[in-house]
Amino acid sequence: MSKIFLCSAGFVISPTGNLDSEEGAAERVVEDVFIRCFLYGTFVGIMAQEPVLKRRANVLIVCLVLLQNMTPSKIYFLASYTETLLSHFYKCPVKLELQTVPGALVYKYL
Amino acid sequence: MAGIKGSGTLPGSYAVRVAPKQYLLQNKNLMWIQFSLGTDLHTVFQSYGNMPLVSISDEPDTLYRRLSVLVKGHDKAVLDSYEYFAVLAAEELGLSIEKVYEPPRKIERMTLLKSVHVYKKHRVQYEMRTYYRCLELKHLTGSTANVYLEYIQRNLPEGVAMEVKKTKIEKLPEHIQKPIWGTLPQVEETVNES
Repeated sequence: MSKIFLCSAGFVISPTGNLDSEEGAAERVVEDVFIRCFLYGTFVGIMAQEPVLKRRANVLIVCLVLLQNMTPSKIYFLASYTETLLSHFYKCPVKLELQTVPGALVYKYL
Repeated sequence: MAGIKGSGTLPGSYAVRVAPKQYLLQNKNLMWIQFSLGTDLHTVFQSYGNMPLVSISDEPDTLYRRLSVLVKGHDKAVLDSYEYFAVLAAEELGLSIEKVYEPPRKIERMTLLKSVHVYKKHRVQYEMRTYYRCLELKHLTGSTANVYLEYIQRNLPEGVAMEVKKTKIEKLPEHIQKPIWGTLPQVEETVNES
């Protein structure tokens, strides 16, 4: 389920589709929903918080914070699996930026 | 877990978050490595060390009288920092800046019903704000403009859109360089006799 959230840095990164006289807002929303569902299904139980999706000139950057439940080799496999599959789906380079945290993160919901 | 941020599958050289002091020319000789999590699971090496930095051609370079770069974003602070970066880059490259100004913001508001079924009197309002920043440079050559724009665009933050307008200076075509009155043959004036 995609929702607007306040990540620990304190800002929301929205794609350029919502700006004045810019197109593509609906496509970005559909892509976002699909990518979040995909990530939720791949990294079951180890995602500490919602993924942050950024787009920089055709490159999709997915920033994930994971818990340290799994062995690193499994995490590496899942990460490269998501990178290759998503880049084949969307025909654009997809980069994953991972970070692991020992416990659950505490932050405010708005 | 930050590995070396390389470009990997992109065909052009791509630099993530280049610090303002680095010039684009340095990045053309980088080897691109696609890293996955800082390990050696995916390594694709493409070295472009043989490409020359300066290319010389016989055609004259295009000249631009004005290059207008308009950036739009939701967040004013992001645009402030981007303007500082772009102005610094232009000054370091020796470009003449005509003016840097801030066009007024645009707010798109939607007033919707708060409830699903009735209660017409209770509404909720959403708005989408677009802030602008315009940077105008004058008297550039085509290659300078290309280099500057490429550097600026590679470091565009996410959520910021850019529009570029170029005003080109061209030579007057040969057939209209001189006035033709005096060179044309005399046309006899016909008088209608009714």
